[in-house]
Amino acid sequence: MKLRILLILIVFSKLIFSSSISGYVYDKDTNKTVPFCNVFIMNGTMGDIGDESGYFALEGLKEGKYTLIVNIIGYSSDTQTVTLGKDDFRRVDFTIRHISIEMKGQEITGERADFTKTISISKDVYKKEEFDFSPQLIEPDIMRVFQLLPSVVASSDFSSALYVRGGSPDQNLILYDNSPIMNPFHLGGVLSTFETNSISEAEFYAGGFPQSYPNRLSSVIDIKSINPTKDDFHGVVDASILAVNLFFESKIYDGLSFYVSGRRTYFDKILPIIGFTFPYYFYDLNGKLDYLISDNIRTSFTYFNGTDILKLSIEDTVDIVSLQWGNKLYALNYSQILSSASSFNFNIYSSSYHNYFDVIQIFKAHSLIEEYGAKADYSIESGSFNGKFGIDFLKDSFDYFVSIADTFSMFDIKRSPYTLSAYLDGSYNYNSQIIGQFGVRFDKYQFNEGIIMNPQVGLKFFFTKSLAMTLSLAKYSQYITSIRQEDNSFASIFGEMWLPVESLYSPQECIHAISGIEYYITDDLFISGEFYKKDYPNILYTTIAQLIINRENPENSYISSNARSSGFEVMLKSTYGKAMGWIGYSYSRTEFLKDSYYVLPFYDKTHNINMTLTLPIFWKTHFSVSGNYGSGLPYTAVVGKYRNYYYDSRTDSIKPGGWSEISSGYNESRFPAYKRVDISLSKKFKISSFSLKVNLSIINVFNFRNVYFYYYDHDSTPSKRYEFTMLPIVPSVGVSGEF
Amino acid sequence: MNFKRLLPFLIIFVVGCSIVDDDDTIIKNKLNIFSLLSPEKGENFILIDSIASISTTVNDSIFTVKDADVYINSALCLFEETESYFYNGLYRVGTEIRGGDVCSLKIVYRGDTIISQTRIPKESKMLGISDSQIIHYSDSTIFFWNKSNTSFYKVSFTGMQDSFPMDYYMMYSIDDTFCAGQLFKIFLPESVMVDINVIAMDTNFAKMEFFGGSSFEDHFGTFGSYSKSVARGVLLIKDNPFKD
Repeated sequence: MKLRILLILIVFSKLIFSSSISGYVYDKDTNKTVPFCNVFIMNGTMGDIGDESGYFALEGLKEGKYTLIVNIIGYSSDTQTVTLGKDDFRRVDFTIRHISIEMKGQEITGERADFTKTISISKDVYKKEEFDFSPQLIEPDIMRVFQLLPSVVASSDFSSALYVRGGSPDQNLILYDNSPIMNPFHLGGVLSTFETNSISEAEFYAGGFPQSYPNRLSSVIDIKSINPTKDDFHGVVDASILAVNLFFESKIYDGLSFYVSGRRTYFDKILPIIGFTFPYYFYDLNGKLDYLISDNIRTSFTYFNGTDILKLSIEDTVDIVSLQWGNKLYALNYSQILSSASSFNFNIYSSSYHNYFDVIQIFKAHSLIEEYGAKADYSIESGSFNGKFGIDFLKDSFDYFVSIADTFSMFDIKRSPYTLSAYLDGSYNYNSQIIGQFGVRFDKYQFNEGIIMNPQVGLKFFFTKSLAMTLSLAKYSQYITSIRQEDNSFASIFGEMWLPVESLYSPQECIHAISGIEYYITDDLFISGEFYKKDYPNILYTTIAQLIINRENPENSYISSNARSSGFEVMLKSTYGKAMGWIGYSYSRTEFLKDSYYVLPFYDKTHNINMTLTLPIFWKTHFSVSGNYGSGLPYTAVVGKYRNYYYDSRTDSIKPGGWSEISSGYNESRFPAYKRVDISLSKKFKISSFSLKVNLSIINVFNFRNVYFYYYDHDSTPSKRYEFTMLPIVPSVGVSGEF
Repeated sequence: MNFKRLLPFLIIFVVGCSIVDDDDTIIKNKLNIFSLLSPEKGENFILIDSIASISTTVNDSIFTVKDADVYINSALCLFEETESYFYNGLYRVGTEIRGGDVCSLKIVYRGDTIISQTRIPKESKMLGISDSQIIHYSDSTIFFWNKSNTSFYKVSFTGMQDSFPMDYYMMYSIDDTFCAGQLFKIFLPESVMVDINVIAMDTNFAKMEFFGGSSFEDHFGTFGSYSKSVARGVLLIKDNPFKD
């Protein structure tokens, strides 16, 4: 107890009796704040990363003269010199110019400040520019960028879903402006719903994430939308072979501004002209109203809507098949800087995912999943101590209804549990060599007795200023699960079908143990290696078949199992300069218990090598290349066949029938190794205040035939095996105009 | 062009690619066995063939199993050359098959011994229906058959259409030994000449018919039995409820 009191006194005395510098970073052209800038002291190790509102604070400074540098990718650096007195507080604002891809290369080094100050286990941060210039599948897509990380496995070219260190996509928490998006995918997972014009930055945690993130076992993707311009007007028009995207942002009056962004595919409108019917389209509509009430108070309202619609009809009158599915989000965020060392954030949201499937008004499958949440946290930051304490409340609602002719109900599920939580995340820089991290979360889940505690500890030890070792141990719980498919042949076009963990079962749990080495070879070249082990003592899932069998008591349809995954990853990353990108290798092994045996899930990938690189070449053109080479994914192979015979009672004789297939053990075979190289060229033209970017991408430039699944002709002997392959070579052109 | 940065990435990428593995699968050699013994048939036989590996590039002969030792109730069954059943080895059963008996199958093949058994169902005859009978039936008509020493029955009404036999109606039954007119009436013409078949199946045969399952744990196929009784040339005429 004495030690705790002493620690608290040290922390608060530093807050009260030391000098500090804080302020905002602004974009010189748009006059809007630039989030997540690196602000650090020249020739020192102290620094800070600004928050999403562009605010930064350096605490615990002694009196003296300091030169501050602000640095962020895509912007020029800026420096300012400040002289501090004793117990002094200074407000310093930076104004930096967006130089985007025309930059000639920069001398680092904001991430070095982050490296020396924080424990960022299994964490990667990506800025808008990195999404814009990476090779793209028709449209820029942040999920496709994440799929190139060594910790992530993609199940196929047709899916943007992320399988992170052995975790399935339903174990990933995807946040947009602090609020969850349930199934952020279009076209059955081919594209994500996030269009990149409205994204400022995305943080990706492959494991060991802070306890402030609720209700997921595997990973976190925390996407922040931009803060709209405080200037007059800014617009972007993007056109690809798939969709058109319009983006506008403007101020309404001082402090109040907005952006709105809309995207829609147009195949359904274009193809009928040449005689084809394509009755499918999707659209995204999102926007944000941002109000800077004062220098210290910001509030914003975010709206997000991504919807897919498929309608097969006869002469536009009778709908044969009607499908509609998508996400909607309404979120209100409030943040207040209480002092140079503390802030308060409040977030309230309503997020939903709907899915309506009707066949000639006879078969109806409707589902609506809603989550209402409120979250408040208080953050404190000093030179040595950072902490966040918060509470959140989630109310989930699950409503599934499947019927035939409105008379026969296949299943009808309605559940609405709540979760009430409190959490604490903190880190303490013990000295220049040791940083400690801790966290704890307490959850009260309605369908579970008692309170569930999830702790977390972490440590970072510096051997030198450039070399550090990290350790992390954490436990997580998840109170929702999903209807799972057990193979990869036909991914559900609807994404995850969520269900709550029923009171008959314990919540899903996962324990992460991570150990890593981080090393800055040079200021702009970084290598990291991480070993991880994840134990899932309890996982739950169900299947459509189980739900139908147990339709009277759907709570009995859950399959309880356990799983484990382990592996290591190495990543070499060029963080700044002319070449931006990384190369990563991962070795992993994932198993789950099925019918008393540990088997591989269909997304287990033993070896996986990814690389992505963007660099300026000539005439201010950027060249990007990404490649992936990995073990083939497991599948249950057909290894043999035999002839069926049957008794024909009409002729009273035995007759030969068709063939039966003999399968290998569950997922005991692997497809051939996966190979793909994508390239992209981007050229930006600027005419006065108007700029035009042309992007040429070629997916699978070597036209590798990557197998998605096999099918057979058994009437031939030997049987003929045919391959259904993934994407062949696909060129695409995109044009983006900005004004 | 700034290839200096690109080069180390590509070197690591190419070297890394060389260690990526590619698993393969091996299939064990197993047998596919099929036999349905019946007391009514003049001949009974056991069909035995190998399963084929999908990836094996072989001709049809891989299926044929000629050198198995096959016994029914300890009596050796002889291999017979035939082209009637595709690739199979056909082993003729010399033992008499009688309803109610238990028949044991034993196959010794390359050191592997496969055994199974079946209880031969006794014949189940339609009650009150004989060959060439004319039957006026309605929804309330019920056809009965007598109980066998098994629980599984298949009933079919087989007629000729365009010179080919076809089932106008077929039903399975577990334990029940009757069939109501309201079930088959809608499938039959106003009047039709049919053979009414009642097939009593043993458990293995029923397992295959109902669930498509095999009666062998380590191999594939079915060793089962049945008894069949037929009322031939029965003229079924629907009763017209509005007829005077």
